[in-house]
Amino acid sequence: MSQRITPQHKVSEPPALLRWWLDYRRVMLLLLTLFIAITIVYPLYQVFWRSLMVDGEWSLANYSAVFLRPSNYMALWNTLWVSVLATGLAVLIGTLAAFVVQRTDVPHKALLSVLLVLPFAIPPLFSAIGWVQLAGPVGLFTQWWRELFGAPPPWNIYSPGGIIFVLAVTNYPFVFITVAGALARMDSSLEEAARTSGVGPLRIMKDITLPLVRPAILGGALLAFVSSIDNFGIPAVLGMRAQFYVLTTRIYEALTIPNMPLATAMSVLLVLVAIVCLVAFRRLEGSRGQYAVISGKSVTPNVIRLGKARPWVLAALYLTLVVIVLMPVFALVLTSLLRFWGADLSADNFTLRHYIAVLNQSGARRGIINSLILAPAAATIIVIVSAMIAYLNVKARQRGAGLLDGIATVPFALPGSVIGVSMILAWSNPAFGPTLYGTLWILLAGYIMRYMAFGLQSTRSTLQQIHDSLEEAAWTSGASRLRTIRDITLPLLRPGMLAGWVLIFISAFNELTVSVLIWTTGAETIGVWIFLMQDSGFTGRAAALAVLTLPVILLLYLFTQWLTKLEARRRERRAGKPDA
Amino acid sequence: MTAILTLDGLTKRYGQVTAVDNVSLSIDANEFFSLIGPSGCGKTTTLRSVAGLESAQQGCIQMAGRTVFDAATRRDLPPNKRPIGMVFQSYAVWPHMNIYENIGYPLKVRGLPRDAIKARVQRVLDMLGMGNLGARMPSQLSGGQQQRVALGRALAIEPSLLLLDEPLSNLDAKLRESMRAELKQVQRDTGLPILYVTHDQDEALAMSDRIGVMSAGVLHQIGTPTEVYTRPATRFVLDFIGTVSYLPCEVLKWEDESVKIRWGEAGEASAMLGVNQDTPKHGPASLAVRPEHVLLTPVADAIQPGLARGRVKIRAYLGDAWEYHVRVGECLIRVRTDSAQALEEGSEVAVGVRQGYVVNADDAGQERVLFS
Ligand SMILES: Nc1ncnc2c1ncn2[C@@H]1O[C@H](COP(=O)(O)OP(=O)(O)OP(=O)(O)O)[C@@H](O)[C@H]1O
Ligand SMILES: [Mg+2]
Repeated sequence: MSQRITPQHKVSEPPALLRWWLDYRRVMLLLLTLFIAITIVYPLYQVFWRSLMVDGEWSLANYSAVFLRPSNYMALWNTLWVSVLATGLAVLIGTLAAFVVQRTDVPHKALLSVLLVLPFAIPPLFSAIGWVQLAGPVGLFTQWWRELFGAPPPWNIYSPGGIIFVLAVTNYPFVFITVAGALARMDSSLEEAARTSGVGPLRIMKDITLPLVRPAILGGALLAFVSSIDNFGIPAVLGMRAQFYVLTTRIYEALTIPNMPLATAMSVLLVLVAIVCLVAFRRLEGSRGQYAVISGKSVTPNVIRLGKARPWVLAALYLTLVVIVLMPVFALVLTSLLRFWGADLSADNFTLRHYIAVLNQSGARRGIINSLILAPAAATIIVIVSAMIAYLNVKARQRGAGLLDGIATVPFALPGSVIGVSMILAWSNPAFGPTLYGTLWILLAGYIMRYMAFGLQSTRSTLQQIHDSLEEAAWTSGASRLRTIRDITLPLLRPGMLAGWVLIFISAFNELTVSVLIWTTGAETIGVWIFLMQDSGFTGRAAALAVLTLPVILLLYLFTQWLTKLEARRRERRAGKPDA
Repeated sequence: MTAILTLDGLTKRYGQVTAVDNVSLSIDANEFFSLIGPSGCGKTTTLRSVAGLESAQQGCIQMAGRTVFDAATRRDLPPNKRPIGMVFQSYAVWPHMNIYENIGYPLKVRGLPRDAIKARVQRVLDMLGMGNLGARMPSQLSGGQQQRVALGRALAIEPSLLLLDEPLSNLDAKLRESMRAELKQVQRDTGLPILYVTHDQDEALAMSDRIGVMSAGVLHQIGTPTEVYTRPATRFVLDFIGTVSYLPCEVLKWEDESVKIRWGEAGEASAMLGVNQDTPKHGPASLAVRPEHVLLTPVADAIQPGLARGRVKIRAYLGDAWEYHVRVGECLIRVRTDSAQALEEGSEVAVGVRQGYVVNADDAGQERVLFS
């Protein structure tokens, strides 16, 4: 059948070793590894290594220093209990809201779902300031309470309780989104089975539905918790005045002294807290096993009829939304427009002088410009680098690219303060290269480290959805590898890159936790200026600057929402047809 | 005829798995060649090696007179340098390009002028009966239309060889039938040699000029559909192509050109066809029969020599035929008779065999046996 064939012509080709090195994948991997090593591995290494060094000797003295002074170890303890309680409250709000929206016949579901996740678009620092203006000593709520009851209110916003409350109303959307999603995708035949055996709707909620969404609740809680221990703005505005410190604010204090070794050791402790909690959550999740009941389709879920209570539930929901979402923003806007806080709301008390003052302050102007440079720069660099890593990992299946992806994702789990400290350690007197400390570059480096995971996540998941055969079809059509990337892969990857870019832009634009540790004169950001002005008593100006940035953030936020909707609709449209 | 494609000793391993094991074949101009075999037997891997999407560890591939792959000299042309068109199981129609751009892409990449591209794409669209759909986006097409676009894209450059990997398996049964005919028509019109991969034997038998049957990476037989069906080279091919049932038998005599066996109650039968077994075996063996080669008669008083006694267990009406499951001794055999002959379930029948294959007990080989 077959005849033996000897090759007729030999083509001269470069020797194997040279070809091996010239392969573009290896060259790319090498360059990307270098980039990740410099921006992520080196700073991390600095934190852990330096925390174990005293005067050039191995020592645990930095750690014992943490535990020798109560003010230090109290911060660790405070971080833990404040975050746990704030997460508990966030779980309560988020789960309740998700059940009401998904499993009752409450009207206006679409609008409620949008409003309930709006806190995502409001930077925590802004809510903290808003809440001071609402519930602080001269806040609106405080005044109303006094008029109604003639006595000082039973709360104090400058307290652990205040921090817990504001953290909770900032972070509950994490829980709401995961739980509402799980409820929407849950196979309702499980609930129906219970209903046909004569079990009441409330009982079904408790015995069937709630246990089934437990993993989702835990997942949302984990995100809320990590976000709580990471937060700087809220405990800084609400806690430092009352001498109540958590790790992030303590690290900030240690750096203003400055006591670098202490800040470093506390950073490592913060990492340990994060890791311990991650493991604990995994345990909780794993102990009950994974439920594989959340399938793609949804028929008629078990819905509780609210009956007469329906308008009341709706009213309560709207009231809650107004209080926890709209009022802080309203207070912020009002603050920026009033001559002073607590002034009567008469026409001659309204003024634009805070805005004028902010815009006349060269530092604040610089902050705005810096943020407008840094956010798009960080977003662009991250998206390009992560698209290349994701391509090597998912498409070219280059060995080592998966590991690189994993390493570059690590900072996602690290609290921002740790990243800030690592930046100072790595770039204020670096072993090689220029000193970045004191320039904008250090902020850029910090943002890249902090948000690398966002870019990787969005590009990776988009690439995974692009079937290999789409590229192979171009290749067998005669297109070279590069041309295939240009004509096929990039256009299909673009939506994912855009989504990642906007997300990083929003996050970096109002970043505070990292920036507040590494800013220097000339290299401030919007977030830093708002914090500094608030911290030194210029609340009106802080509010004015915040109000100036809110539209940018809100618009971009709405843009991302629209993008995800568009993507979902496109996927739905394609769902009927295999693959294309 | 000159060979358009020649594989010689192609071997591809993934770690411990040998996906393609020393496969050699050649495809002539104008030929429709199908690779068929069960899932995971290495068909796709073979096809992808031909396309250049996988690099084999051993062997060489010649295409249109050129060596495109040779493991010995480490020559390995990338897919874009091979004169092929390929259609993927998942269509792989690019969702961000319209139909016109999809089909025109291979031409654009080759730097053809716009006018030429336009004319060629329109010709392909007309040939596929989609002349007015050029401006549509893929998401606005049905599955069958998308598969036609994929085919058009592969045909656009008029390649030397067309590679198809289960192109019809995502379509529903009706559409599959009509696409089958259409594909065959396109092949006749263009005279393009085709390497076609499928695990559907009806498809392969109906369309191919020649078929290669694969199992576990090994190419068991190459032949025309009739050859593969009537003269299976190995036990695997016998089992895989068509349906067979097994009956116990005994080999009495096995000589150069003939074999004599005994099966059934008292039967003795001799076979005349070429015996190419190296070492003739005597003793117990199996007789493999196809459903259409079994004769059923309502039981007579006495069973004649060469017949066996059986009982109808299940019957199914197929419209143009009856299918029976008949118990003979310990075995259950499948039988197909024309629709005129209806036998009741549970009735006793005499079973005769017109034609069968003797399979040695050790499975080493089999030979076709004709009964007179
Ligand atoms: N990239 C890969 N890595 C490891 N093993 C592989 C890879 N691709 C294929 N294999 C293995 O090689 C063998 C042959 O696979 P192949 O895809 O060629 O089968 P196939 O005949 O096309 O099957 P199907 O009819 O299911 O498409 C299988 O055992 C498969 O698991
Ligand atoms: Mg296959």
